[in-house]
Amino acid sequence: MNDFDQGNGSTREPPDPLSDRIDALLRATGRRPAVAPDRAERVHAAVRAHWQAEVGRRVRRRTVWAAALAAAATVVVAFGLGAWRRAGGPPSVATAGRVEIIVASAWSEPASGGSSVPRAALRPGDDIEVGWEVGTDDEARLAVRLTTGHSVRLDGGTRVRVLSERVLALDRGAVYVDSRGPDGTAQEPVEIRTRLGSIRDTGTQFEARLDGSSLRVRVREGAVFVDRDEGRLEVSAGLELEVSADGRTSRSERTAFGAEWSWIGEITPMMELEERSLREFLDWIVRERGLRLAFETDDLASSASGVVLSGSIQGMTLDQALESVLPTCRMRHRIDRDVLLVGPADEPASR
Amino acid sequence: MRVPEGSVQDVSDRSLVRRMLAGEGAAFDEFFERHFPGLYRFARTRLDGDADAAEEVVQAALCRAISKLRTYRGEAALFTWLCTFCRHEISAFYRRSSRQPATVDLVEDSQEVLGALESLWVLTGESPDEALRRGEIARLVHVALDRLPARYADALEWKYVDGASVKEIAARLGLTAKAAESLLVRARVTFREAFSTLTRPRLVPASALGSEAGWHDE
Repeated sequence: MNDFDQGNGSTREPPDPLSDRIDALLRATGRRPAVAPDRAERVHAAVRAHWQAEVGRRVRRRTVWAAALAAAATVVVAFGLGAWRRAGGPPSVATAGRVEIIVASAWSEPASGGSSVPRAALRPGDDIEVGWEVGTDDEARLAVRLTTGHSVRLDGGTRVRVLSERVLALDRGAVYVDSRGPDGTAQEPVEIRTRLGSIRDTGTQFEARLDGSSLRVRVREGAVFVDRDEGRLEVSAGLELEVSADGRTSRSERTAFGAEWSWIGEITPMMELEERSLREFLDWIVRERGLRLAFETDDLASSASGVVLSGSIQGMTLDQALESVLPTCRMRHRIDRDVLLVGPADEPASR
Repeated sequence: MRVPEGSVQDVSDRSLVRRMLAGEGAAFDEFFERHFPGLYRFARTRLDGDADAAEEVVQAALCRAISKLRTYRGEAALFTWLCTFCRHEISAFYRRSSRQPATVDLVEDSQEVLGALESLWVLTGESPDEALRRGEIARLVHVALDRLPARYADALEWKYVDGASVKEIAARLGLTAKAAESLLVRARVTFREAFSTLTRPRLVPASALGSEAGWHDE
């Protein structure tokens, strides 16, 4: 490979033993292994957001300093404002999601350390940023809506680092993921990484719980993939996979309803009722509770689709929402194991 | 690998950092493109091949480094400086995950290992297992390439792995054929120095590369 100009073949490199040896060495070893494009894109987005935030902080510091000097010299403060405007204000940071509900207290702080930004208490409506760590106190709960559309809920004592818009690292505690957003099922899957395996959703509801000795992945609807060094495992609805610290796995059956899932109901973001049918409301309720829907009569089932709701259930629990909505439609309900049975409201006793 | 003061790489690194500090988006992209792949390979080797962990660690390392970017003085190559953050994050990763670091001793990390390998080699009179050795040589070649200025490493791969002509390389780099040829000469010399530094304790036998004395003497 000593041709200097193969285009016209007129010029040739002088013999170069060093070139020949490098030629042989590099041919034998081949190209450096490439990084998977999706990995590069994720890291690029996250690091770029961090860099923009750092630059933004510097711009703000410079602006404040400029303004202080200007004030001391009784020169117009407009200089500082001008500098701010020229800089375009603080650059935006990649937002991974938004806090919907908090029970007790939750917080966030930069995940990478080395930053002067302190831990901050979260409030509903706060943005969750890429590169940050989010945590809940032991008795707390947190519900976040990711920009991908997924609902992610954190149980008490949970710590999660936000690696990108769709990759979260679970360091301890439990997260519940529901791929169905207000506008339908999220298109982009999310990934929950843990030290014992990575869980990738395939359009589903699942819980991942990591404690000191094991990872438990419990699937309520659909299926997930759990990727480990040893290979990929699929866990489908009604099953729980446990991965122990030494890498052993075991499976067991789990129902989609019951006390194990009750913490999720405490922080379920409520549906927007306006202009939705009763049937849509009931379908949403049973999905959130892991139940099946049944009507006492066919007439009742068909009428549920025709009833259009109005009003709001924000701030209620799932049970409170049921108790509030059904009587207004002259219906009642009872839960029998995994079935939500809807029937006609009892007629008031005649006088 | 310390960069000679005032070298092209040194100036280029400092200039890149200055542009990043000034908030230039193209500078960030250049920084990322130039250093992320090498750092990822650096981390993955030290994380027992765990791709997810490497991604996580490199992201954290880059964020940390960016927070400290103002402290970069160009005393070491930017890549070397970034590697120190990466090492720190790898240690933190192992602490956090309660995992034991893989018992992989890397030649470029440990003088003791180098000495031990050399002694073993002399003692037994045999080379290590051929496949392992070949794999290690390939890894060291890649490490050496990652330590070169990106244009040098790319040009060497294009020429010797892909078989691109100097004219093609010149076109890809936006240079004249003459300038590309000069760049290739410098790239070869720099690669030889980087690779020799990594392999000086004769982990790589002379037979694999021709005469080792010749290699160093050229």
